[in-house]
Amino acid sequence: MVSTRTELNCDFCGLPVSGVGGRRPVKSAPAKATSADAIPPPIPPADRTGDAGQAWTSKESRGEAVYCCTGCRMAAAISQETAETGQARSTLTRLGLAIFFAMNVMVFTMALWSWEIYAMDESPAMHALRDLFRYACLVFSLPVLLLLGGPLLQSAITDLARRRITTDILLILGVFAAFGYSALSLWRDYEHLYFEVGCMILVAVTLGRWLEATGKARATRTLQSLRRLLPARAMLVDGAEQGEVPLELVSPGALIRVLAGQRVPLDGVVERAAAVVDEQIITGELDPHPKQVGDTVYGGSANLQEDLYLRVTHAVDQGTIQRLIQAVSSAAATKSRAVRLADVISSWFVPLTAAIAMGTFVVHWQSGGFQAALLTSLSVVLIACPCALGIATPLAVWAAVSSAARHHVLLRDGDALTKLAQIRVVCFDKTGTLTSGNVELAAMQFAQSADPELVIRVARELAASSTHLLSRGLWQAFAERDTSRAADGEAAVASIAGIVNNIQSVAGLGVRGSAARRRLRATDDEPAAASWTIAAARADSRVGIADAVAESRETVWLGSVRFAQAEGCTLPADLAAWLDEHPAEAVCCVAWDRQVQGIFLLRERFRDRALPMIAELRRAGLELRILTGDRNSRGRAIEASTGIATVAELLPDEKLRAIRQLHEQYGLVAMVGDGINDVPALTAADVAIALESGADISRDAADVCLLGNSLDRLPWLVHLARETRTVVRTNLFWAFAYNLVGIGLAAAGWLNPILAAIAMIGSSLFVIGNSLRLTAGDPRAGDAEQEVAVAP
Amino acid sequence: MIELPLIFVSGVLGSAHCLGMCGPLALMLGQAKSRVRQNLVRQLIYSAGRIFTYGVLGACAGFAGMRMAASLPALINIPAVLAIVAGAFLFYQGLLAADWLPRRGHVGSSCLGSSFLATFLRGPALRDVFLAGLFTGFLPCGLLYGYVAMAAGSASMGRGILVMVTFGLGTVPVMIATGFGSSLLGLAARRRLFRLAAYSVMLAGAVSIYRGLGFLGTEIHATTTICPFCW
Repeated sequence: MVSTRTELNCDFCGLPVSGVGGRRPVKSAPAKATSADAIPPPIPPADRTGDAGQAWTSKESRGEAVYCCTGCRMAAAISQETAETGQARSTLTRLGLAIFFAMNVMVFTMALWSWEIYAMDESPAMHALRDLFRYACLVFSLPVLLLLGGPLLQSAITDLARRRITTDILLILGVFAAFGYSALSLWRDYEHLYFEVGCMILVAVTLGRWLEATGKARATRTLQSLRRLLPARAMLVDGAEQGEVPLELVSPGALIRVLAGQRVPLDGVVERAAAVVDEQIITGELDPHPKQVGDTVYGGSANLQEDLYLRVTHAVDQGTIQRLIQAVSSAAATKSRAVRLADVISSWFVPLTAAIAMGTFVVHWQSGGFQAALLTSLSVVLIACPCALGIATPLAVWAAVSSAARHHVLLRDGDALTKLAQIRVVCFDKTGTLTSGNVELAAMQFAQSADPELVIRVARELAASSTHLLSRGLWQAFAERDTSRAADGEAAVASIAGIVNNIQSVAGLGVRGSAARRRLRATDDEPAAASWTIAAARADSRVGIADAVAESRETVWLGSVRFAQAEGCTLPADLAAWLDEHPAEAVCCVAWDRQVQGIFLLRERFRDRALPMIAELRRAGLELRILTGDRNSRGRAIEASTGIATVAELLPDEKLRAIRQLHEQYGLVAMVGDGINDVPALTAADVAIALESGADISRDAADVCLLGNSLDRLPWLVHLARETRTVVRTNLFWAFAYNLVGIGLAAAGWLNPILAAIAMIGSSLFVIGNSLRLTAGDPRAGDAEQEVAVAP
Repeated sequence: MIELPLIFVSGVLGSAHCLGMCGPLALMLGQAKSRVRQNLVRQLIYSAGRIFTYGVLGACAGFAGMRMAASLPALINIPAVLAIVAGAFLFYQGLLAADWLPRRGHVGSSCLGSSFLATFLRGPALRDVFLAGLFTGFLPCGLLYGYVAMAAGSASMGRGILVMVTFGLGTVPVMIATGFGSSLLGLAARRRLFRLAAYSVMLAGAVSIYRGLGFLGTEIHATTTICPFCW
């Protein structure tokens, strides 16, 4: 998932630099072109120039930090100052004070306007008061100019040096013109003052950009939180260098110690000790995992119990969490088609705005004089909001990618999101995807003459000795049954007591053993389960081989019905009838005394919430298919229990053809696979969704990785993709409509510059707020994956 | 303006129900300073910042009301309409506060302005405290909107400022008490106070509606504006 791109990311918000506002960075530091540096580095230490205006730009001009817009540059400066010097020289305080002064200017200006409107009495006192208010406007405006004009001027000068016409240049021209004219007007006692226009422009532009930068940073905060997860140092316990060292200095092969309660700093294998580790951040699973010697532990997971000694397997920049960060980062940085289009448009936008503003100025100068020309062209520049256009798509995509990552879903890029919103069909692999690969007991039935408890007991002992999938499932089911019965207060069956010995496995067919005949007949004179006590078991184990031989013994079988029949057992008519009524994926029977005594129906165990997930996808209007290489009979059984049309006995290339056919029939197809045997199908699908554990997140075939096998995130993800599409559309519609209508009104001279400035903030806020809706949480986030039995 | 005392009182009592939003802010202010005197100064300056913003909002609303009254004088009595709107809004807020209406979900902490405000609240300098108050004044608050509408209804900058500053002054006592982290009142007493606050806000709303209705039919001219708030 590592991209080989040459674009830069903003050092504050992490968005691609050239994608926002049509600006380009000053310099590209050479190291940034490599993929390892695709992640924005932490904000560099503060620039101690003492002048915030310089601090906003000086780093950029040295090529150390790159910001996508003035807002990010400013916000980065604010974060540095906040972190290092408290509020003493905070840029934010400047903005705050400027707002205070601007509010005063507004009140005095409104008072002057109200006199104009009502033509108040011209008494000398009122005249003096009017003059006082006019000077008050000047007095309160100057601090605003000093506080906020500097950074904007700095930015405009930088842009000029680069021979680019930007909004900043136009704005600063407008601001100086407004202040210059107003000062002249005050001196010559002309009627109109425009101090408030200059102040409002400065405040609105600065505030708007700060909000924009904060919004962008918020959309990308998942990355920041992931990055903060690793401790800064690791405790080395062998080799030449011991003690705490920075992570960068720890190479693979080193032995480190992780104290209880600490986060694991690097990927490694447990060398000594054992502990319980919370891997939720990597896999999304809530339940902590016990880790023994030889187990892999991922960096970023939390060591909950004992101290662990780990042999480091990956350097810090190769570790799982770093790859996770890279995956998310490059997903957002890879430009989708829509983003590239927005880029092209916004690169034309600023020059176009400049041309319209100049045209407006010329036209209005001729018709209405300098003041009208100045105000209308200022309105044009203010109302034109390239930012809304530039961030409309990337911000929404970023927010969605980031939100998905927080819910343990990794997206390869924005295009995956776009395609996900359009999918019509979702295909599932069966084993390992919808089902967990384990089986469960669906139903059981016993021969009329048999004692159920005895049958279960024999089956359990036979199953315990086999590693076959069905045996394990059966044994597990009996164990759970015991637990629940014990909880209900019933006497537990002695678990270790053996009545079956000489157990042999018949490869691929079943298990055979022998049991004392008197045991198998026990039901006749003594009730079975309760009488089997530990004492009996001990007595039993004392029975010598000689006794066993002397005793009359009988063969017992566990396996398929066919196996029992091949061994010479008959299937009683009642059981045969029952079996006909209950088609199942797998059948196991227990037999002795030349007849089948009991039948167990088994079925594959669905992943937790697989069925509700299917229902949700169906509600979302999606066509569902299961493509499996499994036998037809199993396919039918899974079709019956899920209600999804199932195509069975498919070879990998047939799966591929099936997907192409679905694509032609319905439209875009998503394939969900567990990523090992489904690669051809995944490649053929429009959106490849892989389930995988965090160990292997960088696989190439998948557009989407569901970490921690969280299959139930799928409907949420489809919803997120559709929401994102809606948000992008509304954003773009808004940005276009706003600019079209706004510029039209402004050029016609129907829009006051102050209203334009407020509208500009409103427009950016709309786009930011609309996009940030996508980062809102999903209530089910973080739930552990569990397997549940599906009711028969 | 005989409403001013009523506005002040509903400011005093009404602010009790606003503590959910502004209370923690006042508490944050107090954390930095342990000495009572220092804390008091900070609380007062904080409130001064809020009242400044309320005043500016009142001025803007008054100006806007005046412009509206001036531009549409013959069609409709704008101040009266605004008074009715303000009254209805306040009454609605009162109903909410009295728990007679179901509340809608609160705006979460995802507000972009929150980090802005927090920066100032934690600042040591009094200038930061003043700015914190200034920005708190912009926080969305139903009660505030009601009084802004009332200020607009006054159709005069001066009276708009007066309405809002009076309301702001009314909110000072409870905010300062909260700032000291004092639980001067027990839970039951607080509950009674909240109820009283709700009634007082409803009363202010009802009076505003009543006055507005009384003036609705009166045709007025911009130059001889009769304000329904001052008879």
